[in-house]
Amino acid sequence: MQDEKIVELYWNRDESAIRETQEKYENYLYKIAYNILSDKEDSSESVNDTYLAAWNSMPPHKPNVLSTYLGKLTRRISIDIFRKRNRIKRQASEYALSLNELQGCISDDNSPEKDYETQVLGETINAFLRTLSDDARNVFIGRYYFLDSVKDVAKYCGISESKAKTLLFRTRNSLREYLKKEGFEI
Amino acid sequence: MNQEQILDALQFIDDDMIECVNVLRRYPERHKYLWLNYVAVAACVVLAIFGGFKYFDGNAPMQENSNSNGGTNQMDDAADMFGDAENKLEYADQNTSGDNGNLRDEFAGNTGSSTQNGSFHYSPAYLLITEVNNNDFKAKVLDDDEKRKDLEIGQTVTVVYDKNVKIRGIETLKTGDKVYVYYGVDKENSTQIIAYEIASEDLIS
Repeated sequence: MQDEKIVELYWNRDESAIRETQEKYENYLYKIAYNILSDKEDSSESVNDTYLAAWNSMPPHKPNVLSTYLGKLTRRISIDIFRKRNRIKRQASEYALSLNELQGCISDDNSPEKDYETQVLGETINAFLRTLSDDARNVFIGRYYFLDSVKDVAKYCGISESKAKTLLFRTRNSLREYLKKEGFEI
Repeated sequence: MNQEQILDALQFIDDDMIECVNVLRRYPERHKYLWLNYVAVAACVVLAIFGGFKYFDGNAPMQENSNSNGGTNQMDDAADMFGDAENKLEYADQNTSGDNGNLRDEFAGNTGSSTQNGSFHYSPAYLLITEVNNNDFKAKVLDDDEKRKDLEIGQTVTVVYDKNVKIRGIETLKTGDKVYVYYGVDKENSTQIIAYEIASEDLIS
């Protein structure tokens, strides 16, 4: 089924939208989740949460590219699961516990200011990526957005692994300089 | 700012850039620079062939056909090696090599290396004629800065030649003349060299 029709099903509150999404994008979303979580169960949970998030966000959202929209949801949910999981692991230590307690003294991670800051940073990175060559941009997004291994990124970008590593190294350095120039504290 | 914040911020990358990579993930691009590997290999092969050819051309024995046409390439190479002399000396022609090719054929293809009969040299020996006989002459080897082999400066040699020898720029060989001789060295008698071409020093120097 075409993406527009799937989005239409969501907007019509037709539950078959989830089944259609699952048929078309389950593997794609699972791969994104697994790259972050490296755990089958957590990845499946993340993908299921994605369907729910899609159901809850459409409407009002009407994504132009459904795959990218769903991928972003999965990525964010997976990162949240990853952090939650690590937080639970860390709680076993008194040191980690004290850090958690002290976190309240500074700023809340989910504060609107933090969200805004992240959004501005995102827009700056977005502008930076527009300045890169196709190869450098694709490798960077493949590695840090999709979190694919360097080997996989090199393979699907059609370059050698060493070249991909070099591109990543240079891009990271350029990004640091770019962010400094834009007034971010590194 | 920390690394996590950067990873979070990547959430705001434009859809078109993400979709571009997404397409690549589904339909991987063929290795863009694979052809460079082939070019490198091809370049190495060409270099090896060229290098090998130059090496054997300059150092190793060249095979010359034993038929009447066999002398041409070798003689051309010899002419190249002699530089200016090429303009002054007319080397044995392919089609006429039968005239003077007997001696040369006997030693052909053995530049600087021994064979059953002896060794053949592209570089001429610079000689001072000390005695002239019917079919040979005695001569002293002079210093000529050439790549002369098998002969020592000051050594006296007997130069034998047959009726087919090419004599250039000289009407009659006389005692006291200085000549250049393209020669082969007889293995049995190292004081005797066999000339296949004799040239006046004026033609060479």
